Amino acid sequence: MILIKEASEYERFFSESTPVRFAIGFLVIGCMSLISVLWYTIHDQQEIEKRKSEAEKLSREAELYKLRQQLQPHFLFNSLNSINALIGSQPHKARNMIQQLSDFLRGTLKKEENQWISLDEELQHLNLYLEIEKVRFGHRLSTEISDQTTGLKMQLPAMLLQPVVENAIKFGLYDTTGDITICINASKQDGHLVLQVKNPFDPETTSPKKGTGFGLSSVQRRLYLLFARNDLLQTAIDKELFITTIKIPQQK
Amino acid sequence: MIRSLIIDDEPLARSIVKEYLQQQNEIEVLQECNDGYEGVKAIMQHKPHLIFLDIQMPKINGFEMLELLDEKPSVIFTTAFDEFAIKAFETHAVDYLLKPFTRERFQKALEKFYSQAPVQKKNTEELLQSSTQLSTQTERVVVKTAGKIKIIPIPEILFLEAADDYVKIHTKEGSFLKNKTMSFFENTLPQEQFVRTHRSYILNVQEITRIDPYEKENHLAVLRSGARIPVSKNGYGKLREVLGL
Repeated sequence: MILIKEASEYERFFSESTPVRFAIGFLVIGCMSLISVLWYTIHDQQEIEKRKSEAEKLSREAELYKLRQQLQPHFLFNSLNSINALIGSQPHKARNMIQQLSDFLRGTLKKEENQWISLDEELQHLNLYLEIEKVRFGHRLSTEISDQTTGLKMQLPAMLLQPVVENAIKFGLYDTTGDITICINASKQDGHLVLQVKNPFDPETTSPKKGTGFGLSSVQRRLYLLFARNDLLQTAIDKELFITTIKIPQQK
Repeated sequence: MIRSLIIDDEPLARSIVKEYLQQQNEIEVLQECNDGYEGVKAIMQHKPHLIFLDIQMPKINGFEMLELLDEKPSVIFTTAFDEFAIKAFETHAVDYLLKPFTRERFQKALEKFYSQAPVQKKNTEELLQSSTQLSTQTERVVVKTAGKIKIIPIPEILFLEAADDYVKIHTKEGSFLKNKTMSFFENTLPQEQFVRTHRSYILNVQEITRIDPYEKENHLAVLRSGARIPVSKNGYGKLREVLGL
């Protein structure tokens, strides 16, 4: 009897206190969500902050790298040294080289990152660079540039192919001793501009995995920033040839 | 007559040195070399007093080439290396010429050579001691074996053993002598991979298969190759630290 009585009292209490209990429940849930919203906001903020500082750091580094890349002190001073030697023995060649070097430097200074240029223009610019290297290493450097996209008005971001070719020159020419050929080939595949650079390397002093040096990792990074894709730069080794392939989606 | 060699991979760079030398009646150029390999051969053959040496060259660079020589000539560097990088060697080489350089500047370098000739040998030795700071040197070791030059990538070193004035470098392909000190390698090899476990031994921790206790507080490290390397009490502490034990 006592039990039932207490049970009915309890039932009454239970039904009368419903709004209060609801209110408490609601408050608890409200607090929880408030806390979690706050927590996530702070977390997001920290993440954004972190990303921002990282992005700033990256852009600073990129800026510095770009400067170094543009100036290429080693290339510049060695070229000036070659001119110095030519002045004594073959003055007309010296004049010619000064002209080439000036044209090349002017072209480099004109270029801006994130700007698209025509393939023709880029190949001409690279040709200047290679011609200068031929004066320095003429006896052993030959180049083959073939463009199967003439008339197709292909475009590419500035300063993208240049580091690839510089990398090819570094491993293919500076670090080897015999006669070598550097090949640059441009073609169109599935709406992409496909650029392939081939250079030999010295297997005795260069381990192939080293081939994706800083020059190429920065190209990889730029392709990712531009197109959000990681599959646009590929490297391969075919016997004693190092092959770098970049694909560039064409803008409509 | 002063015997000299020009070692540079660019023909035009060699020709400017030759041109400047034409007015010097007391210096003769015995040979021009295209890279460090040719340089080593020519130096052993001609025993020159003075060499004009580029730093960045194919095969082995100028510093690596000098390391291979038992008798080192006086050196005038001719390089496009930035001044900052070359500053460290300023006091040891006869002189360094930054490309491009003038005839006057070249003349000054020769005068320095004439005035310091007797002390040069020592300086070239010192130069090589300080060349350890060059970061490009830490990827590989260049050694000479039976008249041939061998390039050993650092990860291929199993362990190093002191051998009188030399260090014996053990690799899968055999062992090679290098005229450096143990402390040189201790300081230049990557510290997370190479540990000096004993006064006479430095080992590649990635080659260790097990470590056995051995006499008193000493241990023996057994390598994948089967070699057993002594580990002193002190060395055991260093080893545990690197291995995170």
